[in-house]
Amino acid sequence: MTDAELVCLARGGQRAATEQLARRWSARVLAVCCARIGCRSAAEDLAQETLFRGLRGLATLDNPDKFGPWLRGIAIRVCGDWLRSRATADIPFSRLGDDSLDPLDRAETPPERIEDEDSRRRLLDEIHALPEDLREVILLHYFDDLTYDDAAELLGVSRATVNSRLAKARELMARKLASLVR
Amino acid sequence: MMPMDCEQIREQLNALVDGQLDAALRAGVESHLSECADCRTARDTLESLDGVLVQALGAVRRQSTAVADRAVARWQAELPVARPSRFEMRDAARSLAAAAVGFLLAALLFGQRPRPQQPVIGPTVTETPIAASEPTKPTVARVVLATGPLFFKPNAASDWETVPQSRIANFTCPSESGLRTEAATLCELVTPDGGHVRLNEKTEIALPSVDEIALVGGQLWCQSVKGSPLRMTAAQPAATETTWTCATESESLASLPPDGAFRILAVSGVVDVATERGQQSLTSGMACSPTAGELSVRQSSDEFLLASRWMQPLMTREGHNSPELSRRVDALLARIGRAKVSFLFEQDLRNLGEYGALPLLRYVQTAKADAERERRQTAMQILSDTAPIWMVPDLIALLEDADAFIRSSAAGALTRLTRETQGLTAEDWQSDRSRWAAGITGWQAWWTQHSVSCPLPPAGVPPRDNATPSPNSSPLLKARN
Repeated sequence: MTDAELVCLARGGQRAATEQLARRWSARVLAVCCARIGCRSAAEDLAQETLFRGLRGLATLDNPDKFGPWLRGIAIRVCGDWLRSRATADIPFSRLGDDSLDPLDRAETPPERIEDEDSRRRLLDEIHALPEDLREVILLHYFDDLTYDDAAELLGVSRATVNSRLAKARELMARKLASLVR
Repeated sequence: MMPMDCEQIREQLNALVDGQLDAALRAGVESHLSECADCRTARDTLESLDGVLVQALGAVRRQSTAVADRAVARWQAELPVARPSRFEMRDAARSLAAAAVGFLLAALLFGQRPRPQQPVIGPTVTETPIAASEPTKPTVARVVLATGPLFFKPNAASDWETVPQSRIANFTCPSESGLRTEAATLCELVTPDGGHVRLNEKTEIALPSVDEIALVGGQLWCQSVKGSPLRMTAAQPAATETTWTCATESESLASLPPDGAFRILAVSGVVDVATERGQQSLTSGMACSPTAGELSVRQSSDEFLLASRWMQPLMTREGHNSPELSRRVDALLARIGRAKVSFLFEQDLRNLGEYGALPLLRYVQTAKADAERERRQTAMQILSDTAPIWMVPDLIALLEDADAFIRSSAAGALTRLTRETQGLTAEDWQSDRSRWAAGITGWQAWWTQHSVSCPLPPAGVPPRDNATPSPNSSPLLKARN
């Protein structure tokens, strides 16, 4: 079922459709928030806030086909407000590991590829160091296996741009993380 | 298809690794790779990096499901219709607890979900007259209020009897008696020296003697006054007795669930806990679990906010200007956006309705520092949904706020309350002054025309004058100073 169909059902009062929309988009919204604020714990709160505002404001969405870009717009505003008002906005991405609920916790990371905490932090540092547009496309791709076409539609860019941003991001990371990759 | 050179192939390698190439293009790329060692190395490097990233970032998907669930729970809690019943809400709260185990452990052990304040309702069992308390027994506590039926027994050997509705207020509990609340009933008592005790629903206390109240089961809050420590006891089945004493001007919460661990939380001041095998002095924010006589202590800043949620209906009984209510609103607001269970705290603020609206309004009116901007916007966002009709002049004054979010939220609240928009959208209120200046004039004219038919603020809130509201003339703005 497409986003637009789910939006129409949700507007009609079908809670299951609303829940499906939230679950379908949660990883992508989290990626958008992580790309902007880095700090995972706060990013989860902001992603939750984004989804909540999106669900609450479905009636104001002019074009149900544009649910994704509309929700991303909410996420960007939510994160922007947070960044402007928080002294903690500059928490480096690599400090995510300090959070015991960090989904990127080392327990999730097979030891054969990322051998120690330092390697993991280096990886996160390099993601955080990427330009925001590259960081967003990398996180969207790995948080939710987004296809190039879906990512292009969400970001409002061409498929070729998605391809080039992913390639550029990987090129930069591969150069910095030579010891982690073959 | 024309054969591609290495540069063209490199441009396609990412799409190849990501499975985004169509069949024809993939065949062309793979054909080249079979013959070009440099491009194969580039492909291998890319695959290796991809593997590292998949392993490091792919796990986020599982976490994002919990984010979605919390957002849906918040959304459902706000639905104006088909609001979950009391019991469904409790189940929902328990589900949410699983998502934030550490913090919500306190909520499960100490507190139940706050419920709307209820009038005193009729007893659920046949009302039988209670014999007058024996005059020779001293009073241990006196009932101030109850939100439902109360049950009383004069001594341990007696049967439970319903306290008649007409006698609930000022009902005295003598020594050796017992008192019990049922589902959906909250109760507040005072001791002869001024101490306060609140009972959550399904809570039983025994009052063996003056200066001693024993928690038999359930949850209670107690507060001592200056110069009069308040002594409480609890005895778990097959366990030693625990005593905790609220030192002068101290507060504590205690929970003795039927199938869980006994816990005591110091809310303010000093609370001394003692068992046969040890003792501890708790200060604000410290929680203690007596287990087999041993005392284990830990600190949690959010625990009190969670553990005291059940008391919200009682906090509103002092009216809109209650200092306790203001403190809770301030504490909840301070933790929204900072705690992992922010959604619960926001829900608590919304549940307070117009009782929470006045402290929120005062915060919005007074907090001007840049560092407070986000918190101020959060307060305004909630206020937009909860402000009562008597706040219309204050909302009109906020239409000229320097913060666009505050302006548009105030306009949203006014529209909710009056069905008027003055021809402006939320976007207009977030734009330059030229877009919304006429709206100010319109709202001031609206107020001039309608102020006589709008209700006055309730008792306890300083009355407003009939002047056209402006940031400098709002009586509530004056009141805060």
